[in-house]
Amino acid sequence: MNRTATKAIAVFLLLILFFTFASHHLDALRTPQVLCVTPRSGVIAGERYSAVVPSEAVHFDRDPYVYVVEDTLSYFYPVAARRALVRVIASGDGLCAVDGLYWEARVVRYADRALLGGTIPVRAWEEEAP
Amino acid sequence: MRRRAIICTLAALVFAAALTCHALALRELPGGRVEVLALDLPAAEQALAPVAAEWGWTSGREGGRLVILSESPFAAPAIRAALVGAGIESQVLDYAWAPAVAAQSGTLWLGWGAVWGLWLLWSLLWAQGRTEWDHAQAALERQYPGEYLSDAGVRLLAKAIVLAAGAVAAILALQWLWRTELVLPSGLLPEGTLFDPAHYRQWGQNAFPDGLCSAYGAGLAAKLRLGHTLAAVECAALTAGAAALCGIFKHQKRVEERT
Repeated sequence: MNRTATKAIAVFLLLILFFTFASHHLDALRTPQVLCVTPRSGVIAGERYSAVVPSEAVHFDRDPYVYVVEDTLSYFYPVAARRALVRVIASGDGLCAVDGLYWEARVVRYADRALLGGTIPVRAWEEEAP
Repeated sequence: MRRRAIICTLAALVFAAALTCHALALRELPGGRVEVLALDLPAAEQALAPVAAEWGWTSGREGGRLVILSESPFAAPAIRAALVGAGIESQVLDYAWAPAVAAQSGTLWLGWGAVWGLWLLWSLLWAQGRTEWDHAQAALERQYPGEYLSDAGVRLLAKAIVLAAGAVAAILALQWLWRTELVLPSGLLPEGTLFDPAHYRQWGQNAFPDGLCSAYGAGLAAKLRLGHTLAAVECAALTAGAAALCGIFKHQKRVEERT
């Protein structure tokens, strides 16, 4: 194989390596970090409800929804936030009583980047929200 | 050859000087904080009281603004949510990322140096591999393989050991480059294309607004500029030194071929 072809192949492989690394780090930087809460029983306006979340966890589009963080089977994206429709039973004092979540669901309270779409790879912040 | 050696030495000196200045500049890192500018500061403070109690913050007043000391990336979203919930118009300046980004500027040269180290290792491996291949081709025209190996065995074994050590170093360097986590200020990375100067200008204006920037903000901007300028000088010195070293290796190979 002549020298030019060898050099061209070497440069091509190096460029692939560089762009693989750059893409991996860019992907990591673009993955939102989220702080989660679990629905707990709480009191709103004197009434007790079984699943209460902070109101900033509930988003309103056509229907109210939350983002639920779950483990996936993907190797590169092991954790994802999935949009889940809920029914808001009551709200007040910065809290919302919701229906439609399972008991141990991890609901996104805050995210450091906007969550756009139905299912988004995320990184869960290790500490629990206060 | 002499010129390349001088370039190498100069690059090493510039790198050492920049690294020393950088270490001195980063002796004191700015603490992370979130600043709140509002027309009605008492009302804003009252709106933030439940959040502050929940997160264990103590907010203070500084130059007509509320200051909350925190390095959590969720401090600013929590404060914004509380203020919006209370219906208070305000501007929230998020500097919680400040210590991490400032400290990171002191370690950027490590990643760049690792890339150049890998390149030099590869150049050395390629050059030595070609040299040994050419030697072997020439020798096998006159000698049996066994004779050649007994003549060149020690040299080949030494090079094989260096190759193995170099391979381990390369694997460790690649692993470190893959696993290192970069930190960016919040909001800096655009959602769309990276090549949008307007986004970066807007971010600069949002993070350090003209006329509204505090002394802390101005100091932070200056420290970031200094830190990243020194990081650029360190990386440039590493590039110049590595390129000069590559030239030295090539010159030595040409000398060996002539002899």
